[in-house]
Amino acid sequence: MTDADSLRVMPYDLPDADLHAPDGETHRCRVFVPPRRMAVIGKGSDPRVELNVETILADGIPVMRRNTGGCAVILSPRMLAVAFALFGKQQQKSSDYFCLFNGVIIRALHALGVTELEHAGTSDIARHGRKIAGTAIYRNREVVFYHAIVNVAEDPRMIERYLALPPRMPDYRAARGHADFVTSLDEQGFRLEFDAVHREVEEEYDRLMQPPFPPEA
Amino acid sequence: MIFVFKFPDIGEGIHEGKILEWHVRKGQTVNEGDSLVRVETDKVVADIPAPRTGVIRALFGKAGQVIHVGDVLAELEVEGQGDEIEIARGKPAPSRPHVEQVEEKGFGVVGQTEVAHDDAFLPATGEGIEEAGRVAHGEPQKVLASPVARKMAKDLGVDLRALSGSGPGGRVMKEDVQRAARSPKATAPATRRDAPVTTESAPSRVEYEELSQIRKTIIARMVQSKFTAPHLTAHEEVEVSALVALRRDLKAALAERGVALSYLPFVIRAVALSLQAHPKLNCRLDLDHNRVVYQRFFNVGIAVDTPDGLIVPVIRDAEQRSIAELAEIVADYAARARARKLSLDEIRGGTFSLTNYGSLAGTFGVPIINYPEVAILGVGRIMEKPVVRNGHIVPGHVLPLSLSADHRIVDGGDVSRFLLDLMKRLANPVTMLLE
Repeated sequence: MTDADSLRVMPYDLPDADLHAPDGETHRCRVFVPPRRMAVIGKGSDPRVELNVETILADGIPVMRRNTGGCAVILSPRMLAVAFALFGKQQQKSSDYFCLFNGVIIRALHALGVTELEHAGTSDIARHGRKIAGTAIYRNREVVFYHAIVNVAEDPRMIERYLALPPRMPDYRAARGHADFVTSLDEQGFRLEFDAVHREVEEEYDRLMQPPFPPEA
Repeated sequence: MIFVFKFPDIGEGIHEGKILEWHVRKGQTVNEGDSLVRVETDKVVADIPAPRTGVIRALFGKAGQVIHVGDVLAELEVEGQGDEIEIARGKPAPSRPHVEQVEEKGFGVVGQTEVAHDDAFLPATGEGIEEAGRVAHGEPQKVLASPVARKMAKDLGVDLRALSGSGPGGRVMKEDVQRAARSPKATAPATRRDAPVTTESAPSRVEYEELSQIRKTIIARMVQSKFTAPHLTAHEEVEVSALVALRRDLKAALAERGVALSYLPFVIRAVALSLQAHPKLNCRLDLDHNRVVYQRFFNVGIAVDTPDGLIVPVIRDAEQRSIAELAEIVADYAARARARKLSLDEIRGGTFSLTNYGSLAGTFGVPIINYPEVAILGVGRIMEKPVVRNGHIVPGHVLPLSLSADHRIVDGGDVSRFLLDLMKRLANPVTMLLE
């Protein structure tokens, strides 16, 4: 029996797990701090390929499988999870939704003084070529569910401890290891309060979804 | 008929995905829109819906298998027979399906296979529409013809699309093909660019220029519209700060794909969606039969300013086009209109028109209806102006709108209700992503 055989992958049960279930609303937003350090793998991920199983098991890191795409990620209480769900007959390309929702996070962080953020690769948010946030989407004909993990203050070396090099990489990564590729807002010199980021993302989301005009007929 | 469904580009510009899970099995009846298969690409997990209603005849690929865009995912037995291409009106089908005659050797039956284009869209999501739009912007035309006429046309090398059918509903009959085969092929009149003509006495302070054919047509159409349809015009201003922000967000992404995004695609989509709820603005008057014809399709014409005069290419089924696809079509139409390379089909069949004078200068106008349509929207220049928000005066982006309508059939209330709907969409453009 190998280490990988003893790895238990649990269903995803974080606060945004049910966000994409239709409930009569047209859209929803949820922002939260992950309650503990954990690994979350993509819907089609192979944990044996994407995780350093030995250290995951040694450190007792729980592993969950989410419904969205993308490769494995490590969450921690020094990160912020952002999830948006749009319900209805979707018409746009996934890349447009990535751009739209990444824009919410970029503008929210900009309002807090974080400059020079940009959309990078398929769906990342980066600063000076280093990844600040990773995102993924699950969609069907009823919903587009987007979520992002923003690294507010976690040490990128922690990520390297638990994650193997992913099987797929964006060009801008240039085959860099996690510690060189990922950064945090804190590492970039932006000491932000979690509550402030949380509040600003929600407000920016509200601005996107509820502009002040027009009057009712 | 067999419908062959290929794995579409689901919108990340990547060319492969992994099958995670099949939701259907061979022999199962599915309805259009039912989830067929869950596929994962780099960052997206998508349930891909059935493109047509039918019975699953074959599935290709197993869970865990990597497939490429264009690979066949499924074959469906769908309704349809005969020797005509089935064109489903009212569906986002910008590209003509490829129909192959196939012989099922085991049974000796000649049937038909309709093959989804490699760039086929996901029917429920609109994914891939942009790519399909690159292939063909015009609506595929169904040529009604009897089987005998079709066979004869093929044998004699007659293009059915060039014929006017004498049969019921304009159906091309055997006699039409025979007549066309006997007559010499009509040659297209040479395009004549009329050179300016000056009087012989030089130097002259007066210059004469013969009217171009386009200008003659414009004159006739403008006069016909203005003196046939009593115009009413309403003006409005809508704050579009959210639209400005949304366009800024999407612009960068589309620029990577070589698409320049203006505001016009958003206005076109807002108009097309609003027309669905206000059929009066999309109808035409048929006074020969004393009736109103409500058109359940929304073909939006866009007035393009060219050196030769105004040309109005038509975006068919505009309500079914994504913003990205509309941006591509607008750019393509504008370029080809100025190069005089639009086909006749592309400049007729409109049900509503837009004139975007704001791209140059101008706030409000009194647009002239593109007769026999019954309404036209004039779009002015977006300006930063003070707006009142929550009791405070703040800067905002304001878009002026002018709507003219044929007052014989469209009342002021119709115009106001339509404008309200339109303004809601323009003020809150994210809602357009949900419709």
